[in-house]
Amino acid sequence: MGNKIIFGRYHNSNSWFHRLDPRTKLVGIFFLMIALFIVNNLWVLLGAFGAILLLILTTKTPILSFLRSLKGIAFILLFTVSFQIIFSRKGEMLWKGEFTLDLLRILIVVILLVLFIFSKRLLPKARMMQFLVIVIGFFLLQYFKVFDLDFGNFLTKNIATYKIKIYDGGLYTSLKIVLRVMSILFISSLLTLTTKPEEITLGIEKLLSPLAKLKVNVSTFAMMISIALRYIPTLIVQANKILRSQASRGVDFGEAKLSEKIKQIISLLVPMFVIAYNQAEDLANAMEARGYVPQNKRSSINVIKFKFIDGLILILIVGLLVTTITLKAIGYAI
Amino acid sequence: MGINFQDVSFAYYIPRNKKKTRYQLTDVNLKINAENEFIGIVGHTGSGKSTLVQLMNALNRPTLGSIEVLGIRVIRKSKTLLKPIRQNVGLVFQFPEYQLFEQTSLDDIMFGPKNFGFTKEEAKENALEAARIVGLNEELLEKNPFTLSGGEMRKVAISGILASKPKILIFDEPTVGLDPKTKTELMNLLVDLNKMGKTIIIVTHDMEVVSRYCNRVIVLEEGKIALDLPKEELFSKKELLDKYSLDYPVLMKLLQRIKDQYQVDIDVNKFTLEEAYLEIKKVLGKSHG
Repeated sequence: MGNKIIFGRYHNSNSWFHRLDPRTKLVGIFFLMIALFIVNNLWVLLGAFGAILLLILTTKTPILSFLRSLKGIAFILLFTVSFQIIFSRKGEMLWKGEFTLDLLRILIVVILLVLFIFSKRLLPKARMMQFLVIVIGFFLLQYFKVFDLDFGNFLTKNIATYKIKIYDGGLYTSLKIVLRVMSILFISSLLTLTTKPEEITLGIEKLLSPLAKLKVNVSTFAMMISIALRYIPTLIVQANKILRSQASRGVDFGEAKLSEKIKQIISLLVPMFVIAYNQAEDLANAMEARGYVPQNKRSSINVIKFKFIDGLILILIVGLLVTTITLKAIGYAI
Repeated sequence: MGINFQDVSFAYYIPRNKKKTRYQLTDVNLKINAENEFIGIVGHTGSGKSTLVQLMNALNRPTLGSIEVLGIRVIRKSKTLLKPIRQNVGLVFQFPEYQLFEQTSLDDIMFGPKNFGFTKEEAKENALEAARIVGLNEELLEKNPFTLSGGEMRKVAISGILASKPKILIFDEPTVGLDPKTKTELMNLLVDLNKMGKTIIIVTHDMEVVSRYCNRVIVLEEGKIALDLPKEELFSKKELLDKYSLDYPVLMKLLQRIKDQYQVDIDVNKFTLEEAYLEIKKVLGKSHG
């Protein structure tokens, strides 16, 4: 169960992109991200996004796992985009709408809210999103006068009128935001989906190796990262066990007063620290017993090799970045 | 009253396509009394033993079917209060010493009862009584639990469960990682608790423990209850033990060997040293007399 959480991201396959040197991928993706931030033209961004989609197709990774990476920020993205569309006043006006607010409509929203709160208590998994859809749907329906309520009394007396104007400038900006964010998310997912975590750490270690001249112990640092990665699933399993044993001692994680909540968290944290320290000590002893000396030079089970294709791709990407910067500097609207 | 499983299946995760659900337990029907039972649950790793006992105190809820615990019905989406269940069905996890977190052992033992709504005085009274039952020294109670030895920590953790006054006590692998002396002490404690009228359920791999202490044995295989029968019946059927590759207790092996080699009429179903000794003595007396 725990394994899925952190390592489930890697998609095992044997495409040309999987076989690339992790250093190439790390540096290349970093440069591509910079280029994506420089570019500010809708059509160029669209082209870049298309190119990234084509690249994904050649890596034999399911497109679904890329879309899954959008899940976390979908809400924020939606929020930003709708704000851009509603409040931006650049360019030509495309559409104008008017919403009126009166007591009856406020009442309906309040009733809906109360119903939602009650339904949340009754159905534990009622979703916020479903509710939002209902409220937005209600406003759309009343805008298009599907049910036009006018009793001619104080209930339907107009309190305020909201005007919504949509300009093409806002539309373009929001499209650019979406394209840029999706491109950046997709290429960073491309890194984690096609590279094993240990390859990534090895790549970082090799990239940082010049720092050894400044007396920074890079290999120990890399070892720390890989051990930390390795122990996340183990600790999740342990945390789950502690959670259950405290629950059977009557701890009700979820609903409690603040003071009780603090106690609950302590009842989880203290055992977790004890377990983590014990495990760290066991691991340190086991490593020493097998002859680990931190400062020693050691070889790695994963050998990474900088091949011809890696060089080619890096040259290509650097060329792309330099061209972008130059064109921008000259004054092209890219 | 007791625990009553009705066609219970359980899966930790239900995928979108429900037909692909992988059940850890399937079609479990089980009745356990709230008094005087001593049950051993055995089975291979991954056979669903721990999942089964976590269903008994509603840490897991059944995916299909229903469970009645001391008159409270638990189904997949029930909104019933689980605290009474958790209080009356105490579950001691494997390595329970990891659940300790308070400053003193006494505070830790009182943590459970306080959660279940006992007043501070009642909780303290219960804690002291539980500590007395498991044989913890008074002076240990004022110490920080992390300064105690492994066996003592486990005793503190067990009294932490006992202090909530459960009717049924479940132990998940209670003897793992204990030295032989502490192990015997712990098992004797379970026997004492059983004599006080509590139902004891232990999950274990150790057939010595099962043969010696339990009255009823439940054998799990691949998420199903393969056998549920009194101890004497299980150990008298050699083919059953072989079928589920269960280990013979050492005393039984010895008696069986004497029986085979000397062709004497000896009852191999003896589970304590004293009983086996008397049986051998009886047979020897016969052959000499």
